[in-house]
Amino acid sequence: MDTPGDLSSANDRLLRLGRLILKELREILRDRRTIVTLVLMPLLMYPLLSVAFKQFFVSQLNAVKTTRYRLALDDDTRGHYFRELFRGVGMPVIDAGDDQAAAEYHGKSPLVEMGLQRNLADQLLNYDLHVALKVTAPAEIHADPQRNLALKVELLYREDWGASREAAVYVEKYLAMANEKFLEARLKVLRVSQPAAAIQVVRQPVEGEHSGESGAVSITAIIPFILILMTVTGAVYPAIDLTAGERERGTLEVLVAAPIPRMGVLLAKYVAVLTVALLTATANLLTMTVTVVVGGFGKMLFGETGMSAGGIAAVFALLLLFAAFFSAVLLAVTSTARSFKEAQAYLIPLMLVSLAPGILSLMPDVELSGLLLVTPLANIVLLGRDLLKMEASPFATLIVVASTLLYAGAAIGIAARVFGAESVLYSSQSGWSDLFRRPRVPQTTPTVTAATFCLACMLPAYILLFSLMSTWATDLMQQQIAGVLMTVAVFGGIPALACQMRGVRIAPAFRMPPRPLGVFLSAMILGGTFWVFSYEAVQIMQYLRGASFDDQSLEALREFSGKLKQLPLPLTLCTMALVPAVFEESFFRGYLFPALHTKTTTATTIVVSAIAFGLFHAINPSPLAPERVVSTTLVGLLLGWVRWRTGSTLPGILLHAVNNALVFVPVYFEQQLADLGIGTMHAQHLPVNWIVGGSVCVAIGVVGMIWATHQPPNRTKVASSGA
Amino acid sequence: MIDVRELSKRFPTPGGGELTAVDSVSFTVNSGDVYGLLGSNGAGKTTTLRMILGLLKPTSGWATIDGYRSDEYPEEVKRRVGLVSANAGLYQYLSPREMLLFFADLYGVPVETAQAEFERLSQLLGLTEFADRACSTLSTGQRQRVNLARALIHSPPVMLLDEPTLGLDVLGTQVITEFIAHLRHTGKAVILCTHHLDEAERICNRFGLMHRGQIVAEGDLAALREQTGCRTLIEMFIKLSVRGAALAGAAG
Repeated sequence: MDTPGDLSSANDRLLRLGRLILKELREILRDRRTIVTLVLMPLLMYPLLSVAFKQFFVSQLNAVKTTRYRLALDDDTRGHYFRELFRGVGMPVIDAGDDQAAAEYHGKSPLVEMGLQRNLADQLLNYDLHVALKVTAPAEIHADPQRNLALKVELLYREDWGASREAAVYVEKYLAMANEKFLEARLKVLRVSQPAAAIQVVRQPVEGEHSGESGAVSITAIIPFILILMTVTGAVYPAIDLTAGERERGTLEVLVAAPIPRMGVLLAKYVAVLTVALLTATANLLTMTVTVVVGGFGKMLFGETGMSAGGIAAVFALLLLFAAFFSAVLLAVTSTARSFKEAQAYLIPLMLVSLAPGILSLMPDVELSGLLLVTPLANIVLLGRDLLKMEASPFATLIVVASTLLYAGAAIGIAARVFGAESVLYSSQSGWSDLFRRPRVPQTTPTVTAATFCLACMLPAYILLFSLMSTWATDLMQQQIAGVLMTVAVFGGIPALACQMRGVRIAPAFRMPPRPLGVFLSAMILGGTFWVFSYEAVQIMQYLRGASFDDQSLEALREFSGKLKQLPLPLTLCTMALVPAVFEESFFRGYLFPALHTKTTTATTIVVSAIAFGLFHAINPSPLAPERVVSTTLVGLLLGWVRWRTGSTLPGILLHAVNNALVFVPVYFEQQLADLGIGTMHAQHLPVNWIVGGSVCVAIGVVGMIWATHQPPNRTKVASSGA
Repeated sequence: MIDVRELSKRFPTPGGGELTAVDSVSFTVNSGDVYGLLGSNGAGKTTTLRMILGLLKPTSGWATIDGYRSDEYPEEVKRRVGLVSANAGLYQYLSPREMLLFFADLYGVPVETAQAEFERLSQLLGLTEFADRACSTLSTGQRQRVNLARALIHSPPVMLLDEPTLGLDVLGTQVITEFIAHLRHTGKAVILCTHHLDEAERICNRFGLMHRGQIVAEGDLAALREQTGCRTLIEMFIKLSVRGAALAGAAG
């Protein structure tokens, strides 16, 4: 009998996967349509765009020249003085609102409309003024060269508004001319050669609340938007061709008939699509950079700092992240199509839906905050804009990266489910809605795909509800109620819905086999003492980050604890300790943990579930967010370990509740603790004896837990079901 | 070599019902057999082949190749099978040489063996003259010969051929048919689904006549004649389309 080759070696499989990826790339890169998207599009588009940009700015400049600069002072006498001063050096000046004088002006220089305004900064922020003059060192105003003048003036303008910057330069030029004229006259009078002081001008930019432009769109946001559009364009064709195209040509069936896992085939296609998307992104980024540098658009688009290498590298990393997400989305969609045309028909609405948040992000003054942090594409465009302007906040970056990775994971999960599924591959008898049909036999464990999908839904839901809560709940009682509702809805509602849809039984995750009291006792000890590590982790992270509690943060904390003390302690315990413990544990250790454990090792499961737990606690946009990730991840590691040892979620709930309670209970006994010499508001390291004592107690809790579960139930992978 | 037992496949339909595509099909194919699985369009032949290969999961029953159940060890089964179907395509930007060596690699064939096998198949199937041209430039007959070579590059003991001569001209059909006869002599177990009944009669030594998902008559030509009362496969086929499952009792 013939003996086909042995495929058993894992190394061989990996190499074969690599060659499969190379084949996919070879096939796709030999297609001239790919080359057009990859090379010709960027080569043609950016020079054309640069011409368009130049035209746009020239027209803007012309428009500015024909309109008036609005200049104001906050004092009538000084206003009259400067009006005459400017006229004396040839500046075309008219009184504010004098339309007739404006109509009669036909000069080429910008016309300055001077007026009187009480609140100059506010007028600038409202775009009512282009520029303002504020006399900061009042001196006797005169035009007599016999006497020194020594007038100090602030020239107020907006750095983030092009017209304001232009106006500032324009006014400064005439002030310099006036200065020169006065000096010349004074020197002549004094018959001395030494310089004399006349008007010292300091340019004073006024920072707006928002850093956007005043135009119809944010010019800086256009750059990442175009790059993302081009990355998408690069990925679309290979995604269609390698899935629906292959099915149409009949090569997909022979590929899945080969002895390689379907996941391997999908992975090869995913890497090929991602590679082409990244090649397109690189080609576009390079061409864009060359165009910006050659065209001299750097300062125009990105402000005084121009375009930096760091900004470009960060944008490339962002494009990689986005490509990883969108390639998976494209594969999930195109895998359901039976032909090239059908795939195109599916993608058109997807692209339109995707473009909407992207276009929204081009609006001026749009901030990367709230729901936009987790809105796919819009968050990437806005973060790209902020990165290019070197204004990205670490918190926003963390949330955007985490949410995009989650979406990518969910999309890959869906793509894996769709790709090669019977109902999609051989679809003459059934539709792809079968993919979402509830299994006939109830499942005891959710799948990794379902868990990732849950996380991907929970993150935006959490942020949306958090934003709503911030606006709706004005006092602490309302905030407590809203917090409980949010926790129940996000950590309870979404996983419960997923369980309902996929026929997963929830009960097994909470089933507690007969266990000695020691398990719960150990959980209580751990919950009561582990805060020592969490607290020190926050302190160490602050030290490493070079950050610390400032007075404002401490004051906010004092205010919060003052309000908290007015609420009954049982209510606080229920809303801030018990409810979060029950629902967060039910998701992270009851739902996510067993799902991960079906596919990964115990250690990986504990670490991944702990990181997810930590990230969710960083969503609150406080200055402490990075520290919270580390401290809550540490708690998450402990909770994951307890879940594995005990095979149940219940001890973790107890541990979690006690740990949470210890954050808030001391607030109620602040005075008694202070009498004992223990402060609750000092942001310093704990005394050494506290750390040692806490560590000993944690060690006792760990040993107790090991002792109480020395024969843990089903220590094999089945343990994840909690059986 | 191929053992099919009570194999059934039911697909859910949009209205919530079920469509039975294959209904309790059983047969065996030994090494050196060319088994003609015949029936009209929609009879369930392709679904049966896909279940044998592990591409579709049976609703009930099972199929084994060399002792491996296709629903439990699909990769072991796939290693032992070469599949040729009428709508199997080629990678248009690869040459036949690149494509065949790529598939050899997927099946774990060492490079030297794959190259030697490629040369041998090129000679046998006449691929030499276009071995390095892009597949998109090949004619239908040339494409099908490449497909056959692709299915044989890993020297499988089992061949599943689903309408391998569909769309080919007389000369192309002749080449493929002769090669299938050659496969029989090399000791491979072959299942052939075709509408070219005269050729099937010539190259197959056993047959299964399928109708609406069921095998209604099975055996060698003599046995089929006895079961159906017809002399040729064409007569049987026509009768089958009229009388359906009652065909097997027609002789009586």
